[in-house]
Amino acid sequence: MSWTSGLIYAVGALGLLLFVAGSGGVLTYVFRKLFADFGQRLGPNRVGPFGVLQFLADGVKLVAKEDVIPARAERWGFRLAPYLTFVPAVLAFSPLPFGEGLILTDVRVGLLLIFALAALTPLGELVAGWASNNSYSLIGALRAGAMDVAYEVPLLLSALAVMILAGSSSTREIVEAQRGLWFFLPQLLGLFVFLLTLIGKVGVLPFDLPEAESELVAGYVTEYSGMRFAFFFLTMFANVFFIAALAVTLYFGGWLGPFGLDLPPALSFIWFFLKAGLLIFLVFWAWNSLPRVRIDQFLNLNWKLLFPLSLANLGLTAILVATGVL
Amino acid sequence: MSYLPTNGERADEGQLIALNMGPQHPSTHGVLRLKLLLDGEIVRQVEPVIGQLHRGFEKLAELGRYPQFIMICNRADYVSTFAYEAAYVRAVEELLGLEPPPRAQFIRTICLELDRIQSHLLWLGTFGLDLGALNAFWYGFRERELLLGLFQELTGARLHHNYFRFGGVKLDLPQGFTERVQSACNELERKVDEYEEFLATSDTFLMRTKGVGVLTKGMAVDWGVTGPNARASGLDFDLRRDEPYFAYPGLSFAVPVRTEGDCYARFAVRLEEIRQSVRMVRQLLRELPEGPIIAQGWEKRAAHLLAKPEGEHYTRIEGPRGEIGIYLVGDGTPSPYRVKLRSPCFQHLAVMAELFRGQLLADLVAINGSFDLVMGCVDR
Amino acid sequence: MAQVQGHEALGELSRRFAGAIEEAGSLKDKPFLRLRQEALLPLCQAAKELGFDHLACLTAVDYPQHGYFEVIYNLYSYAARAHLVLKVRCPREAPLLPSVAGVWKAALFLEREAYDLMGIRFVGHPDLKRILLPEPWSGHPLRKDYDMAQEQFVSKGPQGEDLVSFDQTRGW
Repeated sequence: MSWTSGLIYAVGALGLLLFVAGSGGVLTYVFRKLFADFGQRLGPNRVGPFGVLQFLADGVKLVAKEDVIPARAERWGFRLAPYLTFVPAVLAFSPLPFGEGLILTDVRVGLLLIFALAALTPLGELVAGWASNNSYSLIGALRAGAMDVAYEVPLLLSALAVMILAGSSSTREIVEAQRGLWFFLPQLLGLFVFLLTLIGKVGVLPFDLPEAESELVAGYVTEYSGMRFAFFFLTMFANVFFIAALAVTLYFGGWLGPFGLDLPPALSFIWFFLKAGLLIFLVFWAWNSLPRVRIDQFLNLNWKLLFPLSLANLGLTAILVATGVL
Repeated sequence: MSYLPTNGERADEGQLIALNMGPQHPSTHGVLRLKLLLDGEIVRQVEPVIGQLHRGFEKLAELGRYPQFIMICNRADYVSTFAYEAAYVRAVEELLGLEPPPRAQFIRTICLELDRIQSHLLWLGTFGLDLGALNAFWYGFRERELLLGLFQELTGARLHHNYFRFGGVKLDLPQGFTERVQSACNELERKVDEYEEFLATSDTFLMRTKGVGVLTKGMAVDWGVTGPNARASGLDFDLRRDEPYFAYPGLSFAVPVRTEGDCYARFAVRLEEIRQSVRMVRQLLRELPEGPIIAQGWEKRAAHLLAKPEGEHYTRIEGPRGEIGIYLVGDGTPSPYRVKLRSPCFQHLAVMAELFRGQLLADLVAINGSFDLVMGCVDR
Repeated sequence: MAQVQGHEALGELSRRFAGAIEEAGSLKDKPFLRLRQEALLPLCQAAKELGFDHLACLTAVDYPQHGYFEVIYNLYSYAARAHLVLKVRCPREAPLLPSVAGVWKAALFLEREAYDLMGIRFVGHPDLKRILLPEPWSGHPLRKDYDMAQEQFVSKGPQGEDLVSFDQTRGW
């Protein structure tokens, strides 16, 4: 790797970091406004016009807070855990095509890279829960671990069906393959599994079991405050954006416009963000209206319903592709 | 095992986790502390630790005069403040042989029923929150606000009213109050349907409540469970119907009873009770008689001099959470000799500790929410 | 369970425990019986069999001028819709009574409360300890001779246990 390309990557990585942090911050604002609307309240409306700068104020507040580490915590793990969750969450964005040509790392195994990185997030949660030396944190972390094993399998299986359909695991080629027919139509079953498992992955209601606040106070983040808490919080909202972006890439034609209404490459990201925004709204909607399921119900759902469904979907897709129907 | 998570207590029994749930916890509804031993997610042992809110009301009663305790005892259950007031006032009146005029009886009953509605609404919101339905909380509080505004108009206070007097009530209804209560009733009736649609048709809600925390009828009776919780277990008993007091004898209403005894039954019974209470308030407003609001000779501060009952007596009324009882011993002096507050929540907590055993942690939260504990009522 | 009317049940109880009843009468509209201590448990069992399945209220009253505590059991029968009040006296020097927790589970907490606040020891209660006050608290507040001028301060020990001290600097 030459010196210049290294610099380009460094700038790109920095830009990605800022982009993820910024979009996470903006999403916290959007979420709070929507949450307020659903609950017939006003939401943030003091900092900046319509309170849009609230997330910056919150960020400053969190950074300025005292850094508290519990006396009996495992100090190394406690400090490491926020980065263990945040860094993979940011990196997982890099193989995503936001627009035509707007992709940081265009590799042939892009989708595999994404899932490999995304699978690291629960590791940070486990470390956080263990290191906090708090019963709530530990239970939250164990839930996160159990859930990870449960949703990861149907998630990968349904993504695998898309790969078969596109004949590639490069994210760019998957989007290109959807010219004409977006994959959500032949993959309705897969999409269903994919979205449910992804909501489990971000851990928002109805599947926010690792940090179910009415049971576990805040789960694995119970002992965290200040900047370290901000990392977890940001990771969660970055993840909401990430799953929407991933679903758009795999099922809703990425940067492609509907009915062939493609925008020029430089503007193609507009379609991408529009579609992602709609999906994010869907996630927030579920978050605001559904009660929480129990951990055993979540595991049953994943192992007994979604896993066989995704398997059936994979087999069906493989047969249809092999016989040339699709 | 320096890594064994300890939360003030040590778990010495093999792989069990000791967990101190509360007194500061989002879903212990106040300052209930549960000492739990968990086997993974399953609750093996529960010991409720209460008393953090013990304010010694029964002793305070002996120190002041009779009317002073009205103000204190409505702090016992800070969610439904009219109920304790009514129980105490009724206990003193029965010892004195004092009969309030009909208009006062009606006003009291209107207050009690509106109070029941607002208490159930608060419960509905917090129960939703316990199960993770974040917005149920805001909706419940929004409608409750409507009623608190009415209370403020009537009594001058939103929560701690100090409105009932021996022989009647403090103030008459303000101008236009009945119309505003009417419109609030219309609003509430619509909203209750909305809540039912919002929660009772949600599969997730049903999954979390149906068959969870089943309290059998036999258990309910044996442990002294009363009120909506007992009616959800099939005990067809309501003091408003079976031992009517105030203006209840002339009211027509249904007592919702369910036999399942699970969290959903407790939810459904309370929701139906809101509807029935709205119906009662409507009827009360229609039939509200004219006349004095306080018995002859008991106006203003007379109670401080006149209230010197002698004898002892157990009086109970149907509070929003169950049977609120007052055992009152008077010795002919201006201060009560002994006042015992029989709290429904205190008894419910005892049986809840029994129900928690062997449940999942998440179900513990659901059961705890469904029983509608108010810690002020438990500790007194 | 025998379905009997309230007054029949009362008559039955009065007959069977005639020797143990010291006083009978009514408190307003509710019939009451004052018994000897030793008859309490058998009478409670008999009352439950006769349908008094709801122990509504259990409380104690201190009468220092007479030198005894009076413990009052308010029973109710859901089937017969009837009340029954039982009263028992126990001397202030040795406030011992048989526990009825084996008859009604509701008594488990109520007896603990009476023990905590009035200091009556219920023999046979499976877990008789303080319930509202911390365990090391001294005195029983609802007794008439409880010294309210003596403040007590609560703090937590290293194992999370409650500590009570008369010294203000040691408490919260």
